[in-house]
Amino acid sequence: MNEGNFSFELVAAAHELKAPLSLMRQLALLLEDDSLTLRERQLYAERLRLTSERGLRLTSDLTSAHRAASSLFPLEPINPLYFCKDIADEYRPLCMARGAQIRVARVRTAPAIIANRDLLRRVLVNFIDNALKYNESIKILQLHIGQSKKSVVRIGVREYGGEKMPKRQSNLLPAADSTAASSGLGLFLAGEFARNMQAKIGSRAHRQGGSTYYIDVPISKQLMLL
Amino acid sequence: MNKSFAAAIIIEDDPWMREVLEVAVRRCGLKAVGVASGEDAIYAIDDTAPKIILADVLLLHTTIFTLLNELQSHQDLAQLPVILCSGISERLPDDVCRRYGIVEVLDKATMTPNGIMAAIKRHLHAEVIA
Repeated sequence: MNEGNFSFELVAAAHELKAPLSLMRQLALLLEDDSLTLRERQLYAERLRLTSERGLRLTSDLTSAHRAASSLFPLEPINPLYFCKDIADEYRPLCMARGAQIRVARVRTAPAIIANRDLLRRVLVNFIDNALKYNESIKILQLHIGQSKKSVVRIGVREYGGEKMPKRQSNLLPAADSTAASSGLGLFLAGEFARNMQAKIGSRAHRQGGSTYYIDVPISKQLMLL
Repeated sequence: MNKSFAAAIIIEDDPWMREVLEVAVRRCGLKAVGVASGEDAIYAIDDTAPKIILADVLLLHTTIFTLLNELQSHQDLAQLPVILCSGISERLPDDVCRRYGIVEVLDKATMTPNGIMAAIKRHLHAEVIA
């Protein structure tokens, strides 16, 4: 994120954070009600935790994006299949709370990629967060890995059962360096992270409904030992 | 009027925030009908003939004003009270609100369940509230 844009990004970030913070406050107020059943109490407490984690991810992404302007992120060979499985395991509770399943598509071979583990994780988690936030009819989120070109592996997050991609998000992709809209800041940051790994994000809407957000990551030239 | 049929439409694209609003509506003795978009709201309005609308401003594909503009063009719906629950309440001028039938704007950052209930009760005729 360049310095000139920083104050604008700050305003966009403040706006983006307002939604999870407002929701957390409302959930906390609901929890004050003595008449709640134990099940309701557990449900609201879980939502409170998951919403706070979404807000924290955003703040963490913002600090990383700011840091990315002045420092280099070390790249390393990564097995994309194991990487995606780890993410799916980690975000299964969030998806379940939103009524969706998350899984990794079967793949015969998955060439090693060269990326920064932390940034790649942030990009994919942003795709998951955005899908869950903006499309509540999603039933399945599928992480899939494919080789889009000789030198590039595409890792995508495909929504099943959802609506077509909202226009205001598709406007941010694939040229995620335009401007950060009042929503979709996560995608804007994902674009920043991708650039720091010589990767590129994009999206495509599917005729049968739903859409895929993807990142094209360079293939590692090293032999995969992982 | 049969009180059990009095409904409120809640238009909010975040399902968990929508549920928060639905709880407040039900505590007023109204039937809560939650939808995520203005388009779904049109069908819900036709189906339930609501007595009041609670809505967020920034929705998935559009803003609430697209729907409110449509409602203003129908004689039977133009007087339907609308309460906005928004994170950008400070940016909504009074004259714009009046033009679209908005009777009250609640700030999502400061509103409370009791505050939401009080707002609903302020703008409904007494016989509608259970």
